[in-house]
Amino acid sequence: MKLNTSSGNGLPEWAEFFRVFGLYLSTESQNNDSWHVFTMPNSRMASALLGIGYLSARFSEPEFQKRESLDTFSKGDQITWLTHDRKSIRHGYFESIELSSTDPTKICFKYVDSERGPVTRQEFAFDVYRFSKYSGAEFKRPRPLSSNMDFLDAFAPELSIDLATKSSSEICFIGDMETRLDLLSNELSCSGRIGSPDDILRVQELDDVGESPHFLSLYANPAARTLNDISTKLAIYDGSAAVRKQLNYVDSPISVVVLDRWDHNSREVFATLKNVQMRSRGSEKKLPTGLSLPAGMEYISWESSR
Amino acid sequence: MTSRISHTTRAFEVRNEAQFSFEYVGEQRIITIRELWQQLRSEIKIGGGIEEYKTLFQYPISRVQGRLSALPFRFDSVECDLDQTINQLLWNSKSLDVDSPIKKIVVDICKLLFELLRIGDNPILPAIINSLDSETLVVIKDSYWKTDLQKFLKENTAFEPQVINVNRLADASDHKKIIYLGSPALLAYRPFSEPDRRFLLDPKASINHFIMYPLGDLKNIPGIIDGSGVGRILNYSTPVVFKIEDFDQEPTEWSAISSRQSSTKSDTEISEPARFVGLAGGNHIWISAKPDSRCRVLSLSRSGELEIEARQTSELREGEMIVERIGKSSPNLIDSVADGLGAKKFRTSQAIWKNALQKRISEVGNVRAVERILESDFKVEVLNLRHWAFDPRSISPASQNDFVKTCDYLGLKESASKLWKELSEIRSLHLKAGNEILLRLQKAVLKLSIDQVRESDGMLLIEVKDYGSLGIFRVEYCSDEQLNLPISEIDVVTSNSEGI
Repeated sequence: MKLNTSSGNGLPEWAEFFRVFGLYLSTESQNNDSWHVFTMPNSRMASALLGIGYLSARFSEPEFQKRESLDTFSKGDQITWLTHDRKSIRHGYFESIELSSTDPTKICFKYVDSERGPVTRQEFAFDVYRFSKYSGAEFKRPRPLSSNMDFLDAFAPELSIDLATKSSSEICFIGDMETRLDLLSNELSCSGRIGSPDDILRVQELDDVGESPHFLSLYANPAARTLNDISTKLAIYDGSAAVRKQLNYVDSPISVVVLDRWDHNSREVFATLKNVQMRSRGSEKKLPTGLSLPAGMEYISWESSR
Repeated sequence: MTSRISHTTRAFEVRNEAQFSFEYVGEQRIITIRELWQQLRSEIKIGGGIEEYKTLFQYPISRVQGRLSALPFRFDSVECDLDQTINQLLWNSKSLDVDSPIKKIVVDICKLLFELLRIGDNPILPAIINSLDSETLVVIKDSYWKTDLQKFLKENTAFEPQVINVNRLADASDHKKIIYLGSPALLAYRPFSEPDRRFLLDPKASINHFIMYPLGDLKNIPGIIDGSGVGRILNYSTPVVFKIEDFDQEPTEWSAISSRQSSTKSDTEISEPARFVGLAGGNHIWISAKPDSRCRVLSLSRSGELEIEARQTSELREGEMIVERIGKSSPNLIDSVADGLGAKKFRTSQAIWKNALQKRISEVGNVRAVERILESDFKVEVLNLRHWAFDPRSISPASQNDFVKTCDYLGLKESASKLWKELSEIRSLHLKAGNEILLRLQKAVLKLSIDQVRESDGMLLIEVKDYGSLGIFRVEYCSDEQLNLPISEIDVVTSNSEGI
């Protein structure tokens, strides 16, 4: 569905460019290493819009609509499932698949509800529920799917519940507090519903419902003392500090760097990236046909074998 | 509240629509002074680049022409300081030979300065008045003049424009119009590094008006990526007369203040690396440049409250606000807080220990001689005698064994045990004080409001329990160079007029 600003107007040229470029990136091969570097006079919201474009292109793929079947679970697995009213998720421990005691044509599953304790068991027919294996901290009571389900529904109807109950790390955003604020900023709208990039991107560790057991994107702050190795499908480095501090810790076939030209270190970081290109003997690429760079922006891209 | 998307959109619009205009100020004497100054520089270089001549002539003339060519103060004002500069230059030139080419140039420059002094009126001011409106931001080169200029423009124009120095533009919001005082080359110049052209590549205003003398040939403003097309070419209506490399080594007012300090090396003083930081309100500080040293910076938490953050001094930036003690006579913060926690009653023991060491060093002659005695005759293992005797931060040796042996040498054998116990108490209370200080500062800062900080003109006082007043100062200038200074000169705010 069409994304607008929170005032209902269409996205400005530079913002629409990043959204569409994100769509294009989803078609890039994962067998090579590709780098895309943008510089601009102010880079706020650029990485968020690029991420939305990329992820929304991937929504039509089977893995986003896949529902885990009951026979993938083992006794004792932590699982989450959608409540009957489709508004919240519950948590428990899988026991077994059984026939329903009331309707022999339905397959049910037995589970141990984490709120009611290990000794309580209930049975439900499964065909209205979504299941996910869950590895987060245990929660005790039904949790809303998202703090902004209306917006996610408007943006991705048919898919919203699947997106809200899925976990994967499609994109990693690497940036400081400003990147985090971009992702949380309620300035997008879709069919009259207002929301933030995080409502679509579902970024781990960002605000959703207090805890976020299900996520589609990662966020790494380069100022964090412990820098973890991250493996993802698309890495978006927002700002020079992100490149300087996190470059060697992220493995991704597609990397995008967004640099604010007022950032004092942008030139120095660009020189670092040119060295990356030289060492990898990457060959330069142009923008895809049909996409033209907005005035005031710079772009360079290269590709090398992985 | 403006959305973040709007901020970025606005930045694109402003930079894509930006216009540049260059208004030349027509005081020929100032251009002639510049030409003469260049000849002076050549003569000094030909003569061997004697540092004394640079200090006595080249740098003062460079500073005064910086004021004349980029600030609107009257030529006969205290700010331009022509009177004193002329007198000083002529006095200093008396030591030169009559036929010295340096003397001749200096005298010629002084004649022109004297003419300007008599004229009084500075043509930059009417140029500003003609261009200024209620939405204009004024940008200058040297942060030293920010407060004075703001006051001057309020008194001499119909408006109260905000004045910032060019290094602070990165944090500035978009404006309709910016008046720059000085040429693009002057404003972009950075000593020992590439010119900073960001304000030209991505301006913060649609209208960018330079009131300038034609100094510096900066025309080409490239983007970050070669051949990207975002670069600009500046088209000056009058040819510029000097090349950008002519700005090399031009000192600022801040560097004139920092150069008054000299590096020290003595047997008894403890010295450490420090770097110069210019502060608001006509103050400065030398902050510790040791690799692990930290300063306390006022910042905003995620919830929008004021808080104190411990920052590495190497990461301190212009525009930030630091918390420091005011004046050399004010006590050390950690000592004061530790005394409040109970260390005061043990200070007599600390004084006995240090006085005994200092007395013996004085009697023997020097630190090294005493160290040799302690090593050979008393078998003291880890010697750091200079710090034990003269560094107020050093409480005692780390090893009790070494302490007792040293006491033996000093004639304090009988009281060694008691002294060690009390000095250990001081050490433990200092550690406690270190943790306590941040809490107390945080408590003091919570009594301030963000509005108070904004309206403070860069200087505030806070009260800290068991200490008294500490100052919070905005950083106006950070030097990259380091100097070895006595620790008594480090981390204490001093007025710029001290030492003149």
